[in-house]
Amino acid sequence: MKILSVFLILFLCPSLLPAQYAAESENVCQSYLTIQGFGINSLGNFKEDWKDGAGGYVGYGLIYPSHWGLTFQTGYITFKENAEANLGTDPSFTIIPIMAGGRYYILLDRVRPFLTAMSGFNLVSEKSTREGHAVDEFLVKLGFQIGVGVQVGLFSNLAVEVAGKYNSHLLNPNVPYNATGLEYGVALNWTLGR
Amino acid sequence: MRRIAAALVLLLLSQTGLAQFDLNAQSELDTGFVANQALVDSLNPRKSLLIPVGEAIGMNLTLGAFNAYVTNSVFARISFKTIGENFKSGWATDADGLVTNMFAHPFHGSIYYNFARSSGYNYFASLGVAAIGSWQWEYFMENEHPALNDWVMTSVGGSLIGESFYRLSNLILDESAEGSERVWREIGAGVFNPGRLINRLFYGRTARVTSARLYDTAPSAGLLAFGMNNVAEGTNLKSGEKNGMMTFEYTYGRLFEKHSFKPMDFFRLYAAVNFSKQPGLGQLRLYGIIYGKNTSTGGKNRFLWGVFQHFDYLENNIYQIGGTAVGLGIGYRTSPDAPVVFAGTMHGSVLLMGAANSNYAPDYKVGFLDSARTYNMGPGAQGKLDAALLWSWGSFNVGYTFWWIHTWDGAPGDELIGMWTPRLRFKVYGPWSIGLEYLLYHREGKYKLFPNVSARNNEQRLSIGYAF
Repeated sequence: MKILSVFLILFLCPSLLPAQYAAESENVCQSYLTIQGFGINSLGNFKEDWKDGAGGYVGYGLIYPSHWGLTFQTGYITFKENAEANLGTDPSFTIIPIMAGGRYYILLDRVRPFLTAMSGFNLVSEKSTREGHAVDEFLVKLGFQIGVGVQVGLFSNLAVEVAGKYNSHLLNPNVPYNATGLEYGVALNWTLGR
Repeated sequence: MRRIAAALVLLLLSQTGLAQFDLNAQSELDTGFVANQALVDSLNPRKSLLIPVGEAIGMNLTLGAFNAYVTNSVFARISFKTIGENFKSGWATDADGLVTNMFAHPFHGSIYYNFARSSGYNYFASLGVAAIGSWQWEYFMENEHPALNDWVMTSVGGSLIGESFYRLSNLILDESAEGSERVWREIGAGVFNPGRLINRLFYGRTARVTSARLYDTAPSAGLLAFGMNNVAEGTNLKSGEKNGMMTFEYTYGRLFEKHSFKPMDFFRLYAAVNFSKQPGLGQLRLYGIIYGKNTSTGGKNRFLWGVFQHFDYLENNIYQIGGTAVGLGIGYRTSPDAPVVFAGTMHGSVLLMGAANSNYAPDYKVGFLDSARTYNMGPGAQGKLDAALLWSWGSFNVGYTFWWIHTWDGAPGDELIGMWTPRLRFKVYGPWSIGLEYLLYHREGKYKLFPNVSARNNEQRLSIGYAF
């Protein structure tokens, strides 16, 4: 019952928003804080070693009246070993991304579909055993994301966002062996000011 | 007798003077033309972003079809499977020729860029469209892994070239002109800027006649020079091959007379073309300001700081170097009213992607590449000095560029390459001048798997120049 109540509130609140919400956002720059949880489905030869991942981002964003946005985010991603990979006991593969990027909001209304592209540095840490040799590496590598999402205003200062992104985090482009994957996540955005 | 002859030559030459920094050493405030934004918005309204993005993708599809069905290129045989494989693999690097990767791709990117720029978008949004166009090409239009080096050179290098060529086409376009003059102006601007020409046709601007001036311009100056060079094997001046050559240098905008800058309000372009014995395109070098501020340090002395973008492509029988960089720069100019004027800039930049030829590169095999690499490639750093002393009779310039390339692809290691370019130029008569230039290249190659390389080479140039 509690879950149903929360769902109803979340569903109904958008329709109770002030009418000027959209009009205001057309004319002023907005800034917001964001917190996001997500999962990643690995792709390619990376998936043969590290099957899937999960993590969270915290970030800061700006939305301009011109429909463009700037975003900055950092977080933590951890991947699970592929059971068939045999990477030793307690292998781990983690990424701390530090990224900046842009967004283009197709609509600047209560519902805001957007395109996003981000790039930056990843602090990559791997502990595993490969072909009998212990691997304990810390690397700084480039990371890229591109994707689509939609942001829906819940209250005047709070919006929920869902996004799907393609990730291509460089590991070794000479092979190529990269942490590629499809990321899907949900975020809450708190508007700081207009 | 020789001394007398030399003294006579110097006396004759001392009656003249010209320098590439002349424009920035002049105190007259010709600030160019800045269009009224309201007028621009009414006559050239911003178009939907979907148009330039669609044009970029449309150009890719057209070029891809040409590659697949006309030239029958293997790399162009794409399918949903090859696209899926590209998404799975993510970024790699490719081993196409240096000219293709470090020169042709940026020019391709300048067309993407100008689809957006001529649709009413600014530098950064247009850079984004170039990045989207290049990304779509890399992931969708080739059955090879998407090449990160291509994406960087096409989008970042392409934006620098694209905005510079947008400014050059502004100087040529005149929408008050009619008849054959108008046709030739549109075609002339289109040579520099084919992406803009396509949109001018598409948006109906080539046929429009209006007295309204819609395009910003800035004062500019150039020098076209013909002469000879000698690229020596080492530092022995007598060795090497003589070659006829033409150089073109061009300065757009006044670096020390504006208080603040938009991207490419100031840029400098240098090109060298060889007539024989050396590669046809000897150099194409370009740098320009993205953002900056000028301050007075007393009187008419000026200090400048800013963010600059660089593109370099150099090729002779000994060196092949290419790259694009972004970084900070500072500049200083003494009062233009003094008998001797100093003007110069100094830069420290991140080399986003660079490449240098290496005999070791073909020996370092990369399994997935379908052709042998002839150069080492990767990111690194770049330093640049560009300074001049100016007299009424001529100028003395010193240029120096240093590249550090950390090999991502090629023989593992680091390339450290520098190029000094001191030059004397004397006015002879009116716009005519004589130039003497000495270039010293130095190189240290430090490799993990191969013996290190250390080399020095020089080049001498003698030219007659015409200033415009």
